[in-house]
Amino acid sequence: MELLKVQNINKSFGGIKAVDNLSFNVEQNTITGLIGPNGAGKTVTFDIITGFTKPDSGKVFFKNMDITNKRPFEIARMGVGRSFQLIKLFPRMKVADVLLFSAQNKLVRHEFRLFSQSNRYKAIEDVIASLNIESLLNKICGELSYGEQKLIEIASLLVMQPTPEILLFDEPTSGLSESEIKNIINIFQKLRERNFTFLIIEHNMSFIMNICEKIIVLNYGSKIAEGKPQEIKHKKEVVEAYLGESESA
Amino acid sequence: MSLMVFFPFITPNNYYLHLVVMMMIYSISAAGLNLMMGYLGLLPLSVAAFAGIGAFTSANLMIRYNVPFLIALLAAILLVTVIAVAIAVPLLRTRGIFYVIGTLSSQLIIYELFLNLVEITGGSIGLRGVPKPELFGYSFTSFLELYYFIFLMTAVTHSTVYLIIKSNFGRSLLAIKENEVKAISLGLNPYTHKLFASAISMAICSISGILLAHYLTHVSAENFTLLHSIDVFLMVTMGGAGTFYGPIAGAVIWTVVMETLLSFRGLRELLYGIVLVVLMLVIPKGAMGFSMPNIRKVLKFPQ
Repeated sequence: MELLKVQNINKSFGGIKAVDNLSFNVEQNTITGLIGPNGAGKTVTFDIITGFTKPDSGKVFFKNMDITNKRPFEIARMGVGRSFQLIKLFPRMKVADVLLFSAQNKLVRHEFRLFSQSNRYKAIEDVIASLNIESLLNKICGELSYGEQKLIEIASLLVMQPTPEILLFDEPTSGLSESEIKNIINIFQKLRERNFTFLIIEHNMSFIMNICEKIIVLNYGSKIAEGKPQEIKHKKEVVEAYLGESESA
Repeated sequence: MSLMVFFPFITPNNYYLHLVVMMMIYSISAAGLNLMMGYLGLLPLSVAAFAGIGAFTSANLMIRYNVPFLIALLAAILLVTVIAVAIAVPLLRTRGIFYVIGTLSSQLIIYELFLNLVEITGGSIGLRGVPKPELFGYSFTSFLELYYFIFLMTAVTHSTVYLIIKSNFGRSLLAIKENEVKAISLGLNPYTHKLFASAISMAICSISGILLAHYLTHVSAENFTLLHSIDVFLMVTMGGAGTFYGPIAGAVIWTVVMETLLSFRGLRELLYGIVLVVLMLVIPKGAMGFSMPNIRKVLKFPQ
């Protein structure tokens, strides 16, 4: 079943076409990669899916509901979690507070309750245990290393209520060491076993070839290829536009 | 706290008692502004205007209609909340400096209204003979009674603010200040939060205006100028924005500085400026953000 369906979206900034008639589907319980050279429109596509940018035309469906004109927080509440290319956490908040904030019901009328909802703490505890971040809880976000911040960002998405069904990651491995990347791969694979669906933007080819079932290649805002990692690797257009000769050899 | 309770018995005269009362009243509006400034990260310059609306409303209700103090207080707070929401609805769609300018102009407009709605506010002369506060028929008339009454009101207000800060709502405000986009992507609607915060913040500021009117028994537009809004801003900054004790410390520092400078007459403004600059250099994060490393850094005079 298609969890996310992007239909003929277009977006221009001034005279520049950032996304050009782009359509693709993300199947439930799969990991889909979105690759392409810098400026190919990957992040704009994410912004359109999550409602931060409105497309000039085209539609986005999530669970067969049209979410094109929904506001970003509404889309998030429906179950779409996203990370940002440059980590956007809360630099002066404690990790524990970030997780509590992520988990809390964000309707104002629920926020003045004197007694917090304990089922949400349970969710947080589970995530802390599965990501092994207990030692970070009392640290200030801004003082964490880059890799630790990436972990907290993943954690903040996982503790959201309701739990997101699809997770959009914008370059989850950029700036990470080999061991940290391995850890991320581990986490993603574990999460997939728990029925999460992924859409990942990435430049790290070994990572993306390793983990994805399907890869979509963008160039100048339009889709130039789509398919299994092994097929993509050898397509002429992809090699020319993005991978380069040496990698395909 | 206990010092505050026993202060009337150790103070040499009523002048110091009066100063402490003023500190308490200021600390309330500082706490109100701190919610917006320190937690939400917005700077409304209309604090004095809303304190004024509260003061004139409750004063009028008591003078003209003999309404009990408690009801006048609640009615005034309610009216301020309604007006604050009405003004915030369009203003919160603006960002950064435009929001500040918008609140600045609402402060100026409301001040002009205070001057010109002579029927209600007494114009530039103001209202005289505002009744002293009373609770359930008991009127607080002596100085000592007033002191304890305002102490009680201040304690209640600060406790409420404390609960708000520590609630999920307080955490959400902080998240908006730290990173609004990320907060939205986690499912938060920043607009409603800002609206609620504006209403709560201005309601708290109005309490200080109401107490001021009934304490001094005289209230005029001159109590609620733009300068007063800026003074409250300075209190929050000096005390430490984004901390619970910051506004209280700020109100104390501000009152002490202003009273000390009174004796310098002509040099007062100049010295006030110098004190502000020195304070901001030594404690840029306010009294509550005081730390020795910071002081050492300043004393080294970076090139």
